[in-house]
Amino acid sequence: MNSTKEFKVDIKTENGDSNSLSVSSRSNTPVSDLDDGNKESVCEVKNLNDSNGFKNLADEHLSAAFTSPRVTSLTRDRPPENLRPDIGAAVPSFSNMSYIAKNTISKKTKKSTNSICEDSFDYETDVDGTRKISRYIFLEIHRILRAIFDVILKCILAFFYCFFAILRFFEYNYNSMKLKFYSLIYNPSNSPQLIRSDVSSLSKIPKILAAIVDYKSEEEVGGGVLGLMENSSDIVAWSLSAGIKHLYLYDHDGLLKNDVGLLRRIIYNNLRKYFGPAKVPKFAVRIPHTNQIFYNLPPTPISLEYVEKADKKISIEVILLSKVDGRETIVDLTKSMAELCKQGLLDEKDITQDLVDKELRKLVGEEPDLLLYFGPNLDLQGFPPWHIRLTELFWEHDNNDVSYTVFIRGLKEYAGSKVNVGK
Amino acid sequence: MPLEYKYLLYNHSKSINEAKYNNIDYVFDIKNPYATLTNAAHKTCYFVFSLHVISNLISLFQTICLMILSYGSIPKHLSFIMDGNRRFAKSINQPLKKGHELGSLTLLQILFFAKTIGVNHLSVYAFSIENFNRSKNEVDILMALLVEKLSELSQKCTNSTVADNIIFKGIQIKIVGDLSYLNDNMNQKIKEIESLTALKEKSLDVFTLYICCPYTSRNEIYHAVKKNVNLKLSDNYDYEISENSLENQMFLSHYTNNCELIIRTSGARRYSDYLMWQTHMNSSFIFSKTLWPDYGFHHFFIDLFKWGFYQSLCIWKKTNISRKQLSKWSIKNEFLAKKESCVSYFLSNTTVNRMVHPTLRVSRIFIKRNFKKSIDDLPKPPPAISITQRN
Repeated sequence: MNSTKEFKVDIKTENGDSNSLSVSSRSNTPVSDLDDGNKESVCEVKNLNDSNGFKNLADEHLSAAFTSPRVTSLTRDRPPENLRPDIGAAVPSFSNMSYIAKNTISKKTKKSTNSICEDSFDYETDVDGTRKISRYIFLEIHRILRAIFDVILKCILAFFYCFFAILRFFEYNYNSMKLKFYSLIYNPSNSPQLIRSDVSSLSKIPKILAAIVDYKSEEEVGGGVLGLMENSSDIVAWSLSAGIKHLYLYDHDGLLKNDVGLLRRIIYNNLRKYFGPAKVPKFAVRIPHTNQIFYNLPPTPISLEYVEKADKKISIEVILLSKVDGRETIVDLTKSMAELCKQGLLDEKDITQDLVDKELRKLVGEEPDLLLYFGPNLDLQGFPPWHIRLTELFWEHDNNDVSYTVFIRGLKEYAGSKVNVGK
Repeated sequence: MPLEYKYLLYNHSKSINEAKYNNIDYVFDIKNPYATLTNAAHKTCYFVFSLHVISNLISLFQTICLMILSYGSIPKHLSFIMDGNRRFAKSINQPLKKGHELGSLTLLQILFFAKTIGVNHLSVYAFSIENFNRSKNEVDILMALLVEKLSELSQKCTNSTVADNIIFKGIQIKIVGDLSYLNDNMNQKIKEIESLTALKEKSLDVFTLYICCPYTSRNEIYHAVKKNVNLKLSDNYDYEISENSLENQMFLSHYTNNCELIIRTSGARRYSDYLMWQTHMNSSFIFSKTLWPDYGFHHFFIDLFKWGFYQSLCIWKKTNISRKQLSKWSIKNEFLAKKESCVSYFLSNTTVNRMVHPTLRVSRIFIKRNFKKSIDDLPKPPPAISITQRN
């Protein structure tokens, strides 16, 4: 058990090292300029297989040891508005009002000096040594009054909460009704022509689009890794038909990165549905963290010839991000900068904001123009913090699936947006 | 008595509304009737709310509401992006400076609200480094206004002879950001204000106001990176660079590390370079459509009430429910789900599919799916214009 644990840690640090060493050397090669991407992709697929094999091993042995410290998208703290719909708390309604009232009233009041009902009296302070009975009685009365006051205010709060729960119930239904209505209006029906005609009325579209996709547990509709990949492939097809050239796909745990071969197959399959089997558009999948680029389908023994003929001119670049591209990348960058400074290759004074910006652009990518979140309420889940400076954020309230409605309404919102930095 | 009656009877509405009333001039402009009308409406509103009886009643009501709110869940660190001062000034036909002044009055009010409900840290985005791109005149006005208001506030916080001292007592003011952008004169004044309001005794329940002035989040992260490199070099091998060490070198991190709730006014849904490191993990956002000087009691109350409601649901879910209760609740929940589905039955997937199907067919009649068309044959998309790279 211990040995495997160390092994994993080693691999992690190796990854980090390779990443950090490449900070200064890695050049941002445009996708189309690569000479032999095929060979690269072949050997990288092998690498991936290795890591997958290791993963299985690790899962068998270490699942218990590693689940507790590791934060996954299912166990992490969410912002309170993004409740999971397990307990009847997600959509508060008429029947859990007793639950709300009970909990509100039974909540302990904290003694904070900021609140108005300050308990500033003390038994010892005011009396010099002896306690007078009148003082004692006064304090007791004070306490009782305070308790009564607390209970009354809590009851009012509980009433407010219950009232809001009812409102929330109607709001939820109204929102979901609105979304269904929109889904009637905007319907992609798997055809790029319709999407293009929807988009062509807009004044501008984003150069780089980012989308955060949620992992749902396997029991739900569109859940599991397969559901995640199918959803992302839908987004790829939509943005391809809308004419967007660069697409970030972010998932918290990096599940999309884990099995790129499968993701590429699913994307290919979905694009076949949209564009017909004869002329499937070319796409590239890039993983900035490991600096890999994959083109189109993973090669199989039968189709090798066909793949080699394929040209590098691609219609869309899909970039996969996860939590490691966020804070961890900045930490790695800091480490490598410190290392370079120590070796004398980099002067301390040369570390400027522009340099950090340049390096982070190389390591992760450009800043997206529009970020879509396909969940009930905005939840960034650790999206790279450097890269959301001026990004437009878009989500639909109480929406819980990856739908075309959110996509097209996000684009419309973007077309109307105006940014003037500072001015 | 259980209540400090001075607190309860403090009339916060009168002074602020009076100041707002005096700040606005009535401008009649026949070319711009809408602005003239909104101007008149605002002026009358401020006048009515500054009347003695009405303002007393309103402030009593508001204080009680806030006290009720303080029994629920309250964010420890609340943050505001104060956007829309100039748009507000334009909408009521006033010079830009008035907009900023009204905004500062609103901040004063929000300060009182936040203190009353028991927020520990309140941070506001007062001035961005990008704001130096504005005209020099406006920057000077803003800076002068900031210093003036802050020294006024620091007087209120410390000087017990000032009338508002009852409620502003014990507020710490900190100015956060890259102070090297400011001139020496400003820096000195800022230091004075900070040292004047700093509390000598350390306790957990203090109220601190952070003014983010020349601040951007990228600048903050960059400074943290640089400081870490410096520390690593000076400390040789002992210093270890990690997420925590970076976090501890942020401007705000001397005081607090994460922010639970960000409220941005004026409707734009973007960060504009504010607190990105602190809020990209699990914080809530509220994008309010009102302009900042209009952001009054009811907006504040509703936003914090909603947040408190969801937060307490979260807390109850985590702590209160034993396994037995959980099973009971899940059974109840199934029942609940059925009941709720009565309303949303007509909206269920199958129904919609039934409804959508004909439209699908119709749409396919109009636009025939032509498989021979490849991606290049589609009509040209609109131009891809980036809003982030241009700036």
